[in-house]
Amino acid sequence: MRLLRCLFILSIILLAITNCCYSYPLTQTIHPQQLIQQTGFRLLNANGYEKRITFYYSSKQEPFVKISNRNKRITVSKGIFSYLDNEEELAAVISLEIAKLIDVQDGVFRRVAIGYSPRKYEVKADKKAVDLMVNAGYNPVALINIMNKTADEQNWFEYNIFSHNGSERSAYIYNYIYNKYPLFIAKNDYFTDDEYQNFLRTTINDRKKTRLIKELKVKKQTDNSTK
Amino acid sequence: MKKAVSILLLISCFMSYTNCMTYAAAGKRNTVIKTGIKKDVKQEVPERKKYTPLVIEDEIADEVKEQSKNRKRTAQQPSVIEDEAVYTITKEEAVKKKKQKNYKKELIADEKVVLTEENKKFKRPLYTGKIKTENGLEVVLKPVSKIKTGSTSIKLKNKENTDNYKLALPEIGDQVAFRVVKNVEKDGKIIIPKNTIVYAQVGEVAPRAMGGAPAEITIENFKMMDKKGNLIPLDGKISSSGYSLSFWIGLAELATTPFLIGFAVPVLRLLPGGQAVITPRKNYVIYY
Repeated sequence: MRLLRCLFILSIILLAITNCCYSYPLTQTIHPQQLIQQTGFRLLNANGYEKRITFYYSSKQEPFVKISNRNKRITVSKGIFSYLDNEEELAAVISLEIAKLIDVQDGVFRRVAIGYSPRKYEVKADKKAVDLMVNAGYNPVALINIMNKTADEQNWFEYNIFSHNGSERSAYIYNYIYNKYPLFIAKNDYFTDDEYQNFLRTTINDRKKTRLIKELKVKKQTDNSTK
Repeated sequence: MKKAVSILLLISCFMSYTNCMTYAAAGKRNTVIKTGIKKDVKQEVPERKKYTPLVIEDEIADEVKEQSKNRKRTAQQPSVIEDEAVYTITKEEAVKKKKQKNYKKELIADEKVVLTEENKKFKRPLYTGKIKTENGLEVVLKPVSKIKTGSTSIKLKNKENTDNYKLALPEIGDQVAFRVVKNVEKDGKIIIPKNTIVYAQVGEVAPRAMGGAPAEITIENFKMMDKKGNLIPLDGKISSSGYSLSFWIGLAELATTPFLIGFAVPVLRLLPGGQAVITPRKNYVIYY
């Protein structure tokens, strides 16, 4: 009996050790993929989008966020996470790609039009991304931050016919938020961030223009209402 | 009882043994399957050609040897180069550095935000996770007047000059009126009678562009007045886009390349697409 008791205790110890040392691969954390899917499906569901889009995480160090037109897939790389400060900036990056895929999924003729005038559809996707973020409960000013951190900046002699400058895109986004959702700029959570301050320094004339145009518009409306 | 306990102990020992063996088997990798390897088989290996490097005679080698013999070797002393930038920090300078103020961020003010009454009523949407599976009752609408995209130019005064800027019409936030075409009924009762006016706002306008890209417009935030005077929101959006010329531009480019050798391409790409129109001739559907 003593022998059997000793064997029993040893067997329990061996069971415990083997189960602790050899963990199944499913118990390993896959946090980035889960986070990307969480934010992506939140954006899709909040906006009532009726078509399927999938979200992938790539372990490449190069920072990129890609779409696959054929597979309707958004791939977010490991390298882009070093640029992101919070979930809202991740949502900004994903919403930009969802907005592009919405146009791609519209049909063959729309895809041809995107190929022939990519600059127009880029601005349209940027504005659509603002709507996607607001409906999902995110702050769209995060788009301006991430654009200032990552977008390219070409001069007029380095003119790129396929895409806008980073400063042009961020100015369009600011103009759209100012006209449609101005409360996000009036009570701005990102005002003291270095990236947003840098954006304010580099777009003084563009922001002044948006304010003057809106003031003119409000004047016209008040004049019409008094008449 | 003793028999039962002993049987239990034996079963537990057997389970632990099998558990260890399964993990050991899973840990094994690169198992080699031996299939009748023949030994003592002579392989024919061809003889390799021997490599002999080319001998290049150095003409100056003999002269250098003679010169090196004649040189007197002296003890080499390291050359001292004075670095002008290197200096030691004195106590006074260290104290000064401590007193220096740290970098203070100077914040630039953002532009003053002009809020309309509708902007002030905006409530930030909260994500609840609830998804609408049913659309609700259909409300068939027609616009009171034709809505068409376009562009205007505005003059803004700077300190010295006046600048012209292009604006897309209609502008975002402009109010637009629709009329209900059919009675909306539920359980035999008329909820929304015919000819009631429904107000909406212009949500987004994408102007037309070169390359045959058409203009696009979306209208959202539909609302109507109840009999009691309450504002009732309606679900849905109306979007319209103009005719796209991109496909036909592509075909025209292909057709003209053998005759014009591609010179038609830059000219055809300048053509814009059509304007987006929401006409009273067409019915549009939203939901109650």
